[in-house]
Amino acid sequence: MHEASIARAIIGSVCKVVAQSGLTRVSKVHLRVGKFTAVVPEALSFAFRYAAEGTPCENAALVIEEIPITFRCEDCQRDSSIEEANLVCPKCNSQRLRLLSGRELLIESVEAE
Amino acid sequence: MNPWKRSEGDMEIRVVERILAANESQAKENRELLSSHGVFAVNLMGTPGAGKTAILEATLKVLGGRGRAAVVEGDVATTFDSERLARLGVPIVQINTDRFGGECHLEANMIESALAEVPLSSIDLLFVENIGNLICPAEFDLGQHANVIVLDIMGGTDKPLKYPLMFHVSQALLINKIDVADNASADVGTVTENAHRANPSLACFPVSAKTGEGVEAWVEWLLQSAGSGVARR
Repeated sequence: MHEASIARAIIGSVCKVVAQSGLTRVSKVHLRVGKFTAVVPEALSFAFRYAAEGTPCENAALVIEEIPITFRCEDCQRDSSIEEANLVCPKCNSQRLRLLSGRELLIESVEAE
Repeated sequence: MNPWKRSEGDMEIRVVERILAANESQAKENRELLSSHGVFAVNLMGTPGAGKTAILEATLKVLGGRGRAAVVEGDVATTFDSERLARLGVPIVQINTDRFGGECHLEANMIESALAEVPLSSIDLLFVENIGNLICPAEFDLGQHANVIVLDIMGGTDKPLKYPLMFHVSQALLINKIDVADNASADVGTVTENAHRANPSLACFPVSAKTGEGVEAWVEWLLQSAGSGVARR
């Protein structure tokens, strides 16, 4: 459900950017979405399609690059990538981890005419 | 069609902007406003029925004269919770998100409007009761100083594994209804262990809002956090 408000936030920012560039029709919006966020890409694409109606983003494609969860272990100093957010170093079982990626919620670029 | 290939005639504009930048900047303003009045704000989240309102009632009773509190009560609809809390004699501001499209979480702009009605100069603590939900509120900063989760021990011990983000972004966990669990101490141990997998520094408090057990320890944590003046998220 919150994907709807995230979709509206994307459309708001994108519309501002294209208006500043004197463009009127958006064809693609490129996003970077970390896997350690509360965003499900499919749900976001669905919400975006509806929220975009009647805006310059109507019919635009949302291209989502998913960013894996990676961290550095503060104990063994090694970097790891994990699928599930089980924040334990797979190499030494330490829980002293510094997250390197996975929390991204970014608009990367916009294609428009 | 290759989604990475640009269509003829289109212009590519690099943006690199946080999607929730507008919410985050409003949250920062809220936090600055609260801090400037010396108010420590708690964003209280949790599953529906975990006992968030009961925890607030118990907290306000145990807090007594040690802190002056106000409550911002978020619900999709109805004012039942506000009516319950009104009996405790603290200022309460109700937010119904159906006015904002029935959102499943509170956002910083809703708190901004609510703060206009909170007597900030005469309180020390602000409790914001978020919508009952373990997913959506995790992503929306409100301007709080601490995120606190309320879980119901009867609702299963695997919640921190299923919803790790909520636990990762929080500072404290209240494990409620320990008075009714058959196997309370074992379950509290499992929940705590699971919660620490998502966030090793999470402060965990087994409590019963009904009997008051454990509430003092949580209130002490709260007063210490508020007193340390460290703005945290």
